[in-house]
Amino acid sequence: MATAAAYSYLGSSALDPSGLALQTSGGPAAHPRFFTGFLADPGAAAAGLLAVAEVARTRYFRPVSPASLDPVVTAGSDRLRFESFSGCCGVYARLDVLPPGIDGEIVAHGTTNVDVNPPLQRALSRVGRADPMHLAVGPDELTVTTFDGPVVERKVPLPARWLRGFAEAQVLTARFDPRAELSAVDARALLSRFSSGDRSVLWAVPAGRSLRVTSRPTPGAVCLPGAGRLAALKPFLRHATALRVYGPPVAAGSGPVASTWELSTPSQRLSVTLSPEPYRGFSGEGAVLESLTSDEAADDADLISALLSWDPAIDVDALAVAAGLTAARVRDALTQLGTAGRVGYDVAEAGYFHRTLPYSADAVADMNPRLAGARALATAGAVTVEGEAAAVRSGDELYHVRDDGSCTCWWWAKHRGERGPCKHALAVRLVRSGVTAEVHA
Amino acid sequence: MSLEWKVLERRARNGDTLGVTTLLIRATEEERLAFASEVEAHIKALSPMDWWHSATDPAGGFALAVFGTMPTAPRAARLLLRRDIRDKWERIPLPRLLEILRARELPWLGDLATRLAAKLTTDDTWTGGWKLVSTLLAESGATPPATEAVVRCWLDEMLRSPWEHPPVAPLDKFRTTPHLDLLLPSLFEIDGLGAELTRGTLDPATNSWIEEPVFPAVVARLVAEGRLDRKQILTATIDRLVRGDRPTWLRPFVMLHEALAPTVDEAATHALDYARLLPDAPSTVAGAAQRALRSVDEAGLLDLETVLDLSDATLLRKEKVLVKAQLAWLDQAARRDPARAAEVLETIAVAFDHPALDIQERALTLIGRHLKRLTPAGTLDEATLGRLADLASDLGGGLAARAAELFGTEPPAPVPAVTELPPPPPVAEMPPPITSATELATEVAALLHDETAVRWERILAGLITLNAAGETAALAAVLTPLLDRHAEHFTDDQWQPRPRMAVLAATIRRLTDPTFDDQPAKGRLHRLVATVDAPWQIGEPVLSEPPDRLLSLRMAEIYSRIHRSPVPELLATPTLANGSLDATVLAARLRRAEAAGREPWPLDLEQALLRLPRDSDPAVAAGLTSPAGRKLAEWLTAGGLADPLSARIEQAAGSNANFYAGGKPPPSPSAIARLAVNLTPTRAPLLRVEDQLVTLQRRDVKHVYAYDRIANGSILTAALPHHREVLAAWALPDLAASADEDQRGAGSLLPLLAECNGPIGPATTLTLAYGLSARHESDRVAAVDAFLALAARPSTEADKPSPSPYRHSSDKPATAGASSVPFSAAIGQALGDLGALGLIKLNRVVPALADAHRAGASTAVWELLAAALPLLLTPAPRGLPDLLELATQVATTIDVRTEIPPLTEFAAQKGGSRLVKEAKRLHSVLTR
Repeated sequence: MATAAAYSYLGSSALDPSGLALQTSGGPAAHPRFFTGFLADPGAAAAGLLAVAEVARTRYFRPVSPASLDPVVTAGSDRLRFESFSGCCGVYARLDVLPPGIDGEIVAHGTTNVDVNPPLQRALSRVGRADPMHLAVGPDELTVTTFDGPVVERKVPLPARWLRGFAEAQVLTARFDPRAELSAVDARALLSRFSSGDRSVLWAVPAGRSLRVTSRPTPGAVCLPGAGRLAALKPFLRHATALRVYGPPVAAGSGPVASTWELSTPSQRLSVTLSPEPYRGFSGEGAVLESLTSDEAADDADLISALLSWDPAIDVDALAVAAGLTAARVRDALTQLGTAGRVGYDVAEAGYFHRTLPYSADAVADMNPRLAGARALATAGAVTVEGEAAAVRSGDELYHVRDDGSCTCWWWAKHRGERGPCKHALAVRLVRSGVTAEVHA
Repeated sequence: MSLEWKVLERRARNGDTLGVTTLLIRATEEERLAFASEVEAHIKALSPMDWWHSATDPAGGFALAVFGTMPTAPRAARLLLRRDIRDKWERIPLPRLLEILRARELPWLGDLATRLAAKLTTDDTWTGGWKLVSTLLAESGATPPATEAVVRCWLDEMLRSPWEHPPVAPLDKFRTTPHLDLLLPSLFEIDGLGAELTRGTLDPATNSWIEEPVFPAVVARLVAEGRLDRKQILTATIDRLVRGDRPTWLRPFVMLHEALAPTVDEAATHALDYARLLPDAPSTVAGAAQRALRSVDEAGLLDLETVLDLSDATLLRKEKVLVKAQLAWLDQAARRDPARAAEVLETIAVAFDHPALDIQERALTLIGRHLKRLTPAGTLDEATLGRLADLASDLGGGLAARAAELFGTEPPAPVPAVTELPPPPPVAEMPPPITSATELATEVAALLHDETAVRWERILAGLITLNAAGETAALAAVLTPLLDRHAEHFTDDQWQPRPRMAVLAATIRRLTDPTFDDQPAKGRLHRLVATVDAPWQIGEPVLSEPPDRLLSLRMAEIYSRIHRSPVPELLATPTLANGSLDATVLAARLRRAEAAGREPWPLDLEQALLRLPRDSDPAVAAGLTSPAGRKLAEWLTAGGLADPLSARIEQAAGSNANFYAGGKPPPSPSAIARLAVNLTPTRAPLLRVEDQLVTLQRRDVKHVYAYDRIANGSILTAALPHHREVLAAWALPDLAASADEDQRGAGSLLPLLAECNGPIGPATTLTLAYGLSARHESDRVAAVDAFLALAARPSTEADKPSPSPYRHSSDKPATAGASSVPFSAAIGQALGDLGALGLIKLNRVVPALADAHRAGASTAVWELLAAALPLLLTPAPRGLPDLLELATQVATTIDVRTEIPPLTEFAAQKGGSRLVKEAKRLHSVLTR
């Protein structure tokens, strides 16, 4: 099911001698103004912004209903973050302009859509290394109140899976650890090895100064799922000083997993996160299903969201004290908020950050098809618990679920837990935890 | 004749569109408008199956009625966009439609045309939707919205012309189309449209196909004629290149750029765009940018900062042509402006980081030349010299010494070999056994997606133990729904390469129903059961296929005996994940069987024996008295399965070769097309299945289509985990096909082979050699993994003299002596032979070996290269210079000094080819 995203900009973003003026749409206001000031390293910022825009407009795998949505920008307390998500739902890109990279005033906090149009991309590609550049995110107040020109309006399809994937990519990266750091020269050699059409799933292990590509995972390895999808990073290489790679823990025999590839300069970080296989979107990864099945997390999430204050990195312990919850419950609540698009995760800082996607994302968490299916099964009384095992009758078929969540269904057999629990296991969990009583009510 | 729906419908259903048209034209406009509601009602009442019930699909006639009666554009559009009619626009007879439209002279026709155009999809390029819309647009003079679908449809019409009758040249189509100015800019803006712009055309004069894209020439021509604005088109072209796309889709734009041939002044206005393209764009785009920029620079319109800035990244590009051109450019820049030569030289030194030695050398030579010129003049300060010397100290292949001489610094001390390979992790233990029926069911379900030896062995063991533990009813309860649900995977049919799934399903069904007999008189299950039930005679053929088929046979044994002579545990269940079975564990299982007075199943016992490690102590069988126990003792005393004679053979191309040769001329049937390995047993068999496992007679002619591909490596290796060479011989055709037939996926077998044990012979070395030259990177990467694992074996195991009679080349008869050649040299010989025969592509091998070198296996890579190079020098296949270059780098890393006589001879020849240069360089490094 797809809704539509409607953009309305007061003109097109443009780069002219007076600087870069990015137009905004939606979020805390109709056309919020977040920042005005100077960029310390405009060459790198322009290259990073182009990379984010590149991911937004690319389909790395041909999906049924492609989305092509504008990047979003978040003004936190001390930095700007530009994010985008590919139309195939498998690649997530973010440019963080860190405090040393901006010299100016963040006038308001929030998240909004930002227009990056083809003429602007052309102009950005011509930005030289040292030209000082003024940046304004959002129109100034005067323009907003007196504007009477034509508004730039666009309506693009907003598939539910795109929205879910964007949100869930954050939750998935929360399990990542740093795996390797390469110099810019070694990073260039590594990235130039992959052609843009490369869709094979390989692995990389740290070896010497660089990474060695290998066919099988070992502890400490990072997955290279369709490395051709890293192409958007390449133009940023000449600004970067290091490449850092992040991934979840793996063991021998692990299936493909997601990974984050981050190029950094002293004042900026550009990262690209790849889904575990080119054909897999983040929406189906099921990373959040477990925390969604409990109602406690939903209540906690409401409490926590009221306490968030656009901090660059959310301090879990401080939140726990402020909310009177345990750290574990805060983390569950953050997962829940991540699913709803209300926090992002920064692997470099190893922490969540506050941002609210400017889409009506509240219903997204509930739209998860697997969870909806599980609720239907649980409500229909299809689950029979027999000690450690349980039988689930779905239609004419009978499935058996063990207490570790493994199931005799086709889907579980195919993914073996790599993409979260199946709907039968979720239904069993709902029944066991007694949530069905509420569902009945 | 007034308008009556009955008449109109009858004509439409008979395909009489002329009749429909006449009816509509003869009516007055008032009559037509009065009829509109009736037409609307009847069309809305159509059922999706209606078209099926008449002689002709009436959609075309109904659509004419819509055009002939509707009072407004929105109402007409609504009806025409109904599924019943929208899907059949191509059935609307356009000449009749025009007659009707001209009779009505509708003021809103343009509005309707635009509405329909907005609803076009890309499918309409071929379903005929565009024909209708473009006719309406032409008739009304309206302009369409420039959506992607409209642009694609229009472009298709422009380029499709050669198929029209009479054919119209695309140039004339572009000249006459009314939409050129509106839609042409979109051709440069829509991502992925380049795929369409690569279309060629038909030459009307010769009626032959011209592959070259027609679009660039057409646009260039229209620009030359003044029909299109040159500045606009050039800007759009360069913008497209800057925005980027897949390289093949950019090709028409690169060609257009060439055809436009920008002047120096034009290029100068786009200098910043070119400067962005040169470091990062695909090679052809970067080449064009480099030429354009250089012309700008030569005209003095480019500042040095830009040149130096873009050179940093450009000098590290993979394409040597671009790098060399960039070096030449910098050389010129340094000459032109001696005051800033120092900066230029430091930029040139960036190329010291390039992986290719000839690039490093060229950069060093350039710097040397400038130093000679500049130092006397004193233009270079000490600090710059110091930095340059510093950068040069990491140069490879003996260049660092040359640099030291140049800068007058100390030659860098030879770096000791950094070839520390981590030992391969030990082979994993078998996971714990399956303990419940539900767990077994989830594992059986998992088999449907991923068959591994470990999963199969756990399922077999679990089935036996759970059945013996009285869980039969529970097994039936959880497994039967699963088998029913996926019946297509669990029934035997000829399309399944191996029948093991069907036999597993039959066994499970038989557990609950002892009378169950799936295929009583025929089929593979029947044949397998007949084989295992036949009297057990050693040496009698049981398998005619690769060793992985042992698993099907074992399944059949379980099927046959699970009721007749049940056992509480299997003997052959491995203790390690690679299939290895600890001899003491097997002895303990046999002891339990003896104590219970049970006779083990014969095939189960044979598979168990085949899985024992080579150095198992015969003493573990002490005290066993049953026939099976004595068999274990006898087997261990005999030293287990004897290694067969493994001999390399050459397979000819055969006359079938032309079927797969593609556009290339087929090789002569007698030409050597592949190297294979035959196995011959060296002793009388002790087991029933033994002879067939170690006997392999390949054909003289290469199999083009392998009918017995080993789809699943771990099931093969788990059959004989301590006889790597035998496994490799069986798997060799798959690996060969990955190199010479571009097949994908066989490489995953190689790391598994590396985890097995046993001496290395010609089959193992050939599988690795073919794997290192596989077409697909994932297979080559797996081959490198295997190479590293073999190189990292503890020295006690590595290449110890074995009693095996393996020989590594085909020119001598096999001798039963110890093989003293290290495995890497043996692979080198195999690579050398394959390369000399032209059976593999060296340019695939070089990056794979470079990976192994960087991963720390430099010594093994050197041994490989030292064995391969002498065989390759004279045939000099493509890619040899790169292999020599790699050899130089490896030799410098591990500081090897030796004489390779054929190389000495080769390097002595005169000539300036890259091959000779690289040979000389290697020779000088080895003999410095």
